[in-house]
Amino acid sequence: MKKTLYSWLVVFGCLLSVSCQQEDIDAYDEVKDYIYIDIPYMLDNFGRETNTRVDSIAYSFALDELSVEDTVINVVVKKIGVPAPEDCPYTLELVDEKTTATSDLWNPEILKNRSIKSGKIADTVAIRIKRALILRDQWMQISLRLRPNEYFETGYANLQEVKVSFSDILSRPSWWGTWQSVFGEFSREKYQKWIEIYYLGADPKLASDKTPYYWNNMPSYPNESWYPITYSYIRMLREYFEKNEVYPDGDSSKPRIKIPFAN
Amino acid sequence: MKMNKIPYGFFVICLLLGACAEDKGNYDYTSVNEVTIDSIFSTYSCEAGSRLYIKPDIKSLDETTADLSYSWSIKDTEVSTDKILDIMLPPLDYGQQLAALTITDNVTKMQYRRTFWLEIVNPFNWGYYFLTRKEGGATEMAYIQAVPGDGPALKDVKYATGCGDYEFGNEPSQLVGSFGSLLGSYYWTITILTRDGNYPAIITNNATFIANSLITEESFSDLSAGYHFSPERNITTIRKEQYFVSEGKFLKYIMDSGTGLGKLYRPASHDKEYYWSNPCFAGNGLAFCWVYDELTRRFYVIEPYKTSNPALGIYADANAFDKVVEIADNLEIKGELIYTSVANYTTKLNAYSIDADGIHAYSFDKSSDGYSFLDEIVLSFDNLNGKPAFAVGNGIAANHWYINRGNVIYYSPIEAPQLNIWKELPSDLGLGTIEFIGFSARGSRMVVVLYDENSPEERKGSVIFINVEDKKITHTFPHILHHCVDYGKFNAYDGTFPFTNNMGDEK
Repeated sequence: MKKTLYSWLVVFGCLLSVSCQQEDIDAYDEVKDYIYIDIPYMLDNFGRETNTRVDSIAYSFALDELSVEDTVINVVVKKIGVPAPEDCPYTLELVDEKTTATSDLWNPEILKNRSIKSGKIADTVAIRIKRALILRDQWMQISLRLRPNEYFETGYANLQEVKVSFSDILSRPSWWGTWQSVFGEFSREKYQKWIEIYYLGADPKLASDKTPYYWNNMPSYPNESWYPITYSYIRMLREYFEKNEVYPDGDSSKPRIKIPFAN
Repeated sequence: MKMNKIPYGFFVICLLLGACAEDKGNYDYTSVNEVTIDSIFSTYSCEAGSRLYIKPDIKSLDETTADLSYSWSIKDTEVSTDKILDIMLPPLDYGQQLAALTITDNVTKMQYRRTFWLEIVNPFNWGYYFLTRKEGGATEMAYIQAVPGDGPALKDVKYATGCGDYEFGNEPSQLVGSFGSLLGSYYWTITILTRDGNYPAIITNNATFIANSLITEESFSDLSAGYHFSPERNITTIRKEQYFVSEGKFLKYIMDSGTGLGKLYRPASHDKEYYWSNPCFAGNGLAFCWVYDELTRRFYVIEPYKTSNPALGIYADANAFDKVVEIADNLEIKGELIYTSVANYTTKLNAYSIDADGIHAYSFDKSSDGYSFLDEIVLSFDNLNGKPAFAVGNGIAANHWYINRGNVIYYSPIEAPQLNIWKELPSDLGLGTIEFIGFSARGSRMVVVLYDENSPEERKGSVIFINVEDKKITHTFPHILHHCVDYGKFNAYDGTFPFTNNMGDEK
């Protein structure tokens, strides 16, 4: 009985000792502001913002016109607090081990001498990305991280680092096989032009499920009597490749791209 | 063992007693007072909101003891409990609606039912359509309803300045009808062209008179090209393909036959400048079109290239009539071109122009050697005051064309033309001079529009119907039109052609 009583006393004593332990809590630094990367929120099926941020800021050239040579991806850096009366430099560094994009695809110099301008609470880092051939085969990534400096502490832990991903990959759609007799062999140039010509909203005819026909929702069968409007766009596609000499990947040693669909 | 024997004996006695029971059933049968319903057609065509009168022929085996109640219903909603249906139609969707008469024998509680269809049509349905131009250029559609029996009267004239929410534009240019399957039945698809407005081409039909399709500059397949759409003519081929002439350019309307919706293809592209008008397709379905060039005053043939030759800038495209074919022995058309036509199932073009020398009747045709000019016949026809009305007859008036000088109507055979007076309108009509001539659907009625510039009436144009056989004026509709630009005979005076729903006014 005595033994049990001692045991309880030991436990009670331990609890008392723990409760007296002092925790070191970081004091809110009233001199420095906090800074974070405003990573965009994911969108739902209706295009509305959700409460979840995206994993990375991604861009694909695949649906752009062939004439598009580059694009700009914006990374927005924000401070928590009120605008300052003077420019406040911040440090945005490249995370080398997580970056695959080489400097011929973008200009890393843009990361230097960044600041949140006086009277502002945000700065936009406009990263211009070049549409290079290598992007047709793989995704490239730039990883950026904020570092504390004399003006800023880092704020939200999950908003200190951002991945910027980009590619130009355009894969053969599943419907291509059914329409191969009309379109011929798949090539990204053909597909890209078709996406441009037969855009969503081009064809007033609806499929049986009331969805509009367009490049990503092709009629089930290649039949001009059933789908005369689709075919009118195919004629436009054919005429484009008749009037313009286009080669796969711009390689003129390969056969010129043509649409085999006969009149 | 003894105990078991007692119940068996009891059952046997019960069965024996049952066998002695007397059947007191009633076997004096009387026949049910059977009801038959007749004199209800399978389909009634009714204008929305109009009066519907149906007097059924109802017979029962014993009329003296019949105790019947009636229930007329449309789409499961009871609309009358009278024996004779005489109602103003409730709001209903256009098209076919199922209706029924249900008769209940209140003695036997048996029910007898006859179903039928109501074809709900809009107030603009079967009859005579006039596309008119007001002073200042606004468009008004005037319509004389086809009324069987004595025919339409002044009260049967109606007007529209648009289809549903879509106003007609200004400067009306053409009214085109094409008959065919629509909304589960047969109707006219009607295309109304105006040259200046938000909706240059409104496609509707005589079942709903609601815009089914709007063709605008937004309808071009290639929006980036900045094409303009101001249609002057619409033409439908025997294959039901639609083409337009817009600002002298020739272009195809790619239409989905199921929905009637479509896209405008790029205008035909040529190596020289032309301004096309008066397109006439071959009546036998061949893919070429006679066209008149306003710049050179000559006819040409246009057709799609069949093979591409990029070196020459030639691209085969069945949707684009890029190829211009010169006609052998081609000649300049004299005077003002007033009419062109190609007879059904032929390739021969007949064209008519008028100048101080008279009427020039030209003919062209296609042969195995190509396209060629055939002949020109000049008919002396002087003292014309302005552009005459001109019409080619159809039905019983076929193979002739008609033209006016003042209020005298002349006619001529299409082959071997020669002018003869067909009718001189009475001088006491007091409705002005002839502005437009047309015919009813089967050609048995001439429809003449007169215009009185000096009339104090708001609408200075009048319509008269003339019986083609005895040339008597049968109907007069004074001061119902503005200037008549075009006319459509959508079952006007044609009631018995089997595919036209018996909806005309000739019974």
